[in-house]
Amino acid sequence: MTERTTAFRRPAPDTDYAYASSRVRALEARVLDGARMARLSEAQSVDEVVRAMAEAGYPSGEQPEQSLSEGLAAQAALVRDLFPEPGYDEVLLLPQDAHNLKVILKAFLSGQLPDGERFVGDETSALGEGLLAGSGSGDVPGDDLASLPRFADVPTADSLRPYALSPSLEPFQAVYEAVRDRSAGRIHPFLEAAAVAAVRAFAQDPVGSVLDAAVDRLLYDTLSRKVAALGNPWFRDFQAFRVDLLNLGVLLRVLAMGSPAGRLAQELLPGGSLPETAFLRLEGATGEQVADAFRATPLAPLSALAPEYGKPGVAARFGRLADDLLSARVRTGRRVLFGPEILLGYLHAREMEAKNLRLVLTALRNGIRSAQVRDLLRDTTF
Amino acid sequence: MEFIDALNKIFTGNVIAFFGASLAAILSGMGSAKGVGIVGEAAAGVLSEDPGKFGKLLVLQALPGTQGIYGLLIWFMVVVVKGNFLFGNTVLTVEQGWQMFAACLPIMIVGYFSAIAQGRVAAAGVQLVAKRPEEQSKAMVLAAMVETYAIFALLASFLMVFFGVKIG
Repeated sequence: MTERTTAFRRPAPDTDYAYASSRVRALEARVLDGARMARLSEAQSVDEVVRAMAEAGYPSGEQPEQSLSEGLAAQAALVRDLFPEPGYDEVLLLPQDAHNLKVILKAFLSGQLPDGERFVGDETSALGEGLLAGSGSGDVPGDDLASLPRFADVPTADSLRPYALSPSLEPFQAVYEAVRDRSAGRIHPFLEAAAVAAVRAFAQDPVGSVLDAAVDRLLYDTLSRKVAALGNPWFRDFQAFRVDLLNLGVLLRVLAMGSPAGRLAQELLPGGSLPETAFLRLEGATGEQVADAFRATPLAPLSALAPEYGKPGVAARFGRLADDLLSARVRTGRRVLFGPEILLGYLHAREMEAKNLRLVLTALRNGIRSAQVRDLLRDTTF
Repeated sequence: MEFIDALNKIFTGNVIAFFGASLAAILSGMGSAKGVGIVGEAAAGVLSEDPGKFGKLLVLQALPGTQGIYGLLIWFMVVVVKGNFLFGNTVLTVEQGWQMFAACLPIMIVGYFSAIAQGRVAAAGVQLVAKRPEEQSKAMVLAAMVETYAIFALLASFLMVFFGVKIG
């Protein structure tokens, strides 16, 4: 499969989005807004939440979490189909493919299924063993899929499929076979490059998170290029801001965990509005220094949490605040009559709604007080 | 000189007046078609999710259609009423032809642009009705404000056609 968008192209006129934007505006009326979510946080039973979910358009089912996932996937599929110009579906689906690739590679390299169950008896799979032992010329792969060492003792595609995300740009089976057979030219170029980068990183540092970071770095690099090529300034800035938020989260997590030197550089994502060096120079810094460093940036409200990051509950507050900052950007972008901003904003609103519903369901099942839940509810008022 | 003589033979007063009248009908009609089309697409999007709003949205869709009617009205005034080209044999001088053309300009230009602008406002109204059906009247008032300028242009063209151009 070839890449669909590479060079910058002129975006479609906004009137091409007349149908899609108006349909999404009609769908927005069903999103559970801030006031309704606040009321829902007082729910006494799961049934109340399930009723609210049905009003918001989620399918009925015995497992509310399952209904949430299915409803969210259905809404995302609907919106992807509404885009009148190409390129957006690729940008929206690539993260799903990246997840699927990680599932396959981790299973191939570590001999474990994502739930921790082993499918081979040894500590490592044949490939992992070879890589770790540095057994000859095949230990660090070259630049293409064909140069990867031969995988042995791989699990079946069917055993991995429950952990895969669907839909994706490439069928899970195709990615599985291309990686297993080390066959170039059969899947999206990003997936091939990411597979090679991940195996190379794993060969040097055989930790699952290193593999994740290698795939994510390439994913966000690809996304930022493709988003820029779509020619929508708001979406480009939104994507860059999202990367900035993720990078600040990475920095704080690395500092809180006291991770070894070099880990920050491995995990920082490209494509943000702030250069990676802005984060790298803070390796080993105190929370106060981090807060000072970002005081004059849009990340200031978040970086203010840096001095207390690591204390109980602060990471959750960080997550909520980061989502609310993104939502504020979405609100700004939605001040257009027609355009992709409205469709992308709706997807964001639905994601926030699903997060809120999961929070409420989790709180109900674990007896967490509604006041605590309200503090973590994402803003879904658009 | 031959070239100018040829031009004078082609562009007679009647032909220039016809051009003006035709462009008034064409451009304002094009604007209306575009405006109504934009609102129609927007309305179809809302109706996909809520077919019950058809009546409310149809009114909004009709609003940008008036400019096309105004253009046709001026065409009728020039060709049938004032010029009497269809049922008589009026012959206009080149100067009178240009006067007719100039009289058509307001509705020709304002009709085109105001219909598109009104279509966008009405489409925004469609989105408003999608979320708050009870606000339909406000959506109509907002779109009708754009109509004011199309009416001014119609009035200007009408007065010029009737009182600005002296025939006979």
